[in-house]
Amino acid sequence: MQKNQVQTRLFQGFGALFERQVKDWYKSPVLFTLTLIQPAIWIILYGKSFPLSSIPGLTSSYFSFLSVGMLAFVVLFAAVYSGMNIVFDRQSGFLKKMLVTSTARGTIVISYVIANLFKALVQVGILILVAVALGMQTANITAAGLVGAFAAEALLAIGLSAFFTMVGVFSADPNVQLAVMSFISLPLLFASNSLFPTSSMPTWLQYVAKANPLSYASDAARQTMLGATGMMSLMFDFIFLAVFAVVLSALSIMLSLKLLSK
Amino acid sequence: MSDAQKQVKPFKFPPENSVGEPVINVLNLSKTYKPQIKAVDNSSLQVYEGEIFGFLGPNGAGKTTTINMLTTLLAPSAGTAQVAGYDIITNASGVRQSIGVIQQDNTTDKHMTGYENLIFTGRLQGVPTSLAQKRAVELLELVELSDAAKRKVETYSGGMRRRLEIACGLVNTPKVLFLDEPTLGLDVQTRSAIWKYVKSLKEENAMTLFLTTHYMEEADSLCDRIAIIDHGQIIAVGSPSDLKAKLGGDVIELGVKGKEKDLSELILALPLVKTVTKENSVYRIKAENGEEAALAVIDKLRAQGYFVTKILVNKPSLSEVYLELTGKAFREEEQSKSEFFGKKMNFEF
Repeated sequence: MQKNQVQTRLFQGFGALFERQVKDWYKSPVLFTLTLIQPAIWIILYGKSFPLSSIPGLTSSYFSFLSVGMLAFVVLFAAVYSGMNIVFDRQSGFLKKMLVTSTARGTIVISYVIANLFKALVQVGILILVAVALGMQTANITAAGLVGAFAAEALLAIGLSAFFTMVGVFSADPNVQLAVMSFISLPLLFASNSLFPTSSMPTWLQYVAKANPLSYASDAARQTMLGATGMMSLMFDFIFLAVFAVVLSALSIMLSLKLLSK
Repeated sequence: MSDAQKQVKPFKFPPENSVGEPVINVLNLSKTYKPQIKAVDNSSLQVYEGEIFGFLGPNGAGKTTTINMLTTLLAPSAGTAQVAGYDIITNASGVRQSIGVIQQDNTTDKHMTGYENLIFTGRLQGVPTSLAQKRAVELLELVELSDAAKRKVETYSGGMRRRLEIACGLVNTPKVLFLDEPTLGLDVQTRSAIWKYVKSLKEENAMTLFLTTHYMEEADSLCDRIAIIDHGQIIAVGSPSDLKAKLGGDVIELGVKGKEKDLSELILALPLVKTVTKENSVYRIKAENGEEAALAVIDKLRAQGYFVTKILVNKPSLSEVYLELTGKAFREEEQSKSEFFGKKMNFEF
């Protein structure tokens, strides 16, 4: 008495999963405040305290340069923590509960990525406001430019969140996740043009920075928001970021699905 | 002492009598982990509609692995199963839609209220929100959590969480409910409350329940049929009474005043009695229905003018069956043996 194949409604359960994750974030005042304060402290600390205006390759004030670079930093850290959510959900048994419902496994994985994308973009928006309030150069900011900057950061957020979600599915142990997080995140930040322009780097580091997706997000955002001369053309930045987002999402979602249905 | 009276009671759900297809049909299911560890080894099993089916076995016997495969959390290495008419491999989504699962761990979200947890689970199961809201109210009533509905789960006690867990498993009105040790570590009150819900579910909704437990007396009183699994293989299937009957029925220990005369023949002549052995002054009588046989024995002996000094009815329990089949338990010392095996009824005269 084999019954016909059952098709669940497309994205059944997505809304519920998305809501749950976003609520967990904004309903925890400590978590929410810290994620917003942390990058603001960085731009004040680096951008305002150090006399770094004489760095070669800058076409704007260092504070403005750093503020836009910090957007990628915010996205990176949001993504790194997104992997942690899935580890906690696995530990609490919540992941198992989701897996025995008729919500598609792909939807579960995608909900983590999209919820994180949302959190990252909210943080990006708030950081831009803080930076402007602290004196970031606004002369070249246009609506289209802002959209472009958000688009660049969004592509970065999708790729990185997908990657760390996959790591989260893979590492059942929070310690493993934490090790991967600290192993990858800071080197990725420093080996990018987010804090310093590539032209001020040693040649070998320049190659690393040019393979680093953070550099392209920062480069695109600086071109659209500050009217800066780019490391690459804006077109190339976006193509790089789009390819990064698509390839990592596809790979991570496929691997996650495989790991979830052993 | 006719043969008819010695017959074992028939199965409550005998496979040969059942009409229609099984709700759970496990066919040569196997799960092998890397270095040739057979967690589940070529198991086959049928569960019929409306049954409460108990799945018993020692730790590591393959119970959870089987449940994980039936609930599509694990892919089988070989064989397959149909649950509610859907194949667990080719139609996992159909299976998930038709089942409710109550897992060993607490899977509710402690940051949400009880009510929110139910709505959330309903949405994941594709239940329309208005229907999920209605179901949530009903289910909270069923598990007696209406008063705590608006409280966050982190404020719940262990027993309340388990009850909420059960409500969550029911939000999509499943055809088959899987319960993996739902009463593990709970106090007696909560355990009996949970089994009360389970029974009412079966009676009201014709739901099929597939459960594992380590509490033999619970399995005995609750389950229509039981399967015992060990080393990944199903070693016995049957109703609790049938499995117990296989051990040879109840044992009556009888003391009679006046040790010289052997009364074995007299006792054996009674209809329910199967065998009688005499050890010193005590008779050990194996009988079909212990309490009835004991009364018959007393009546008979009194009528003949004998004085019964002591009588003890020992009913074999499911634990005995279980230990007989799995043989893994740490054997207790003599004095606690009676307490550990079976219920005893003690009449002193």
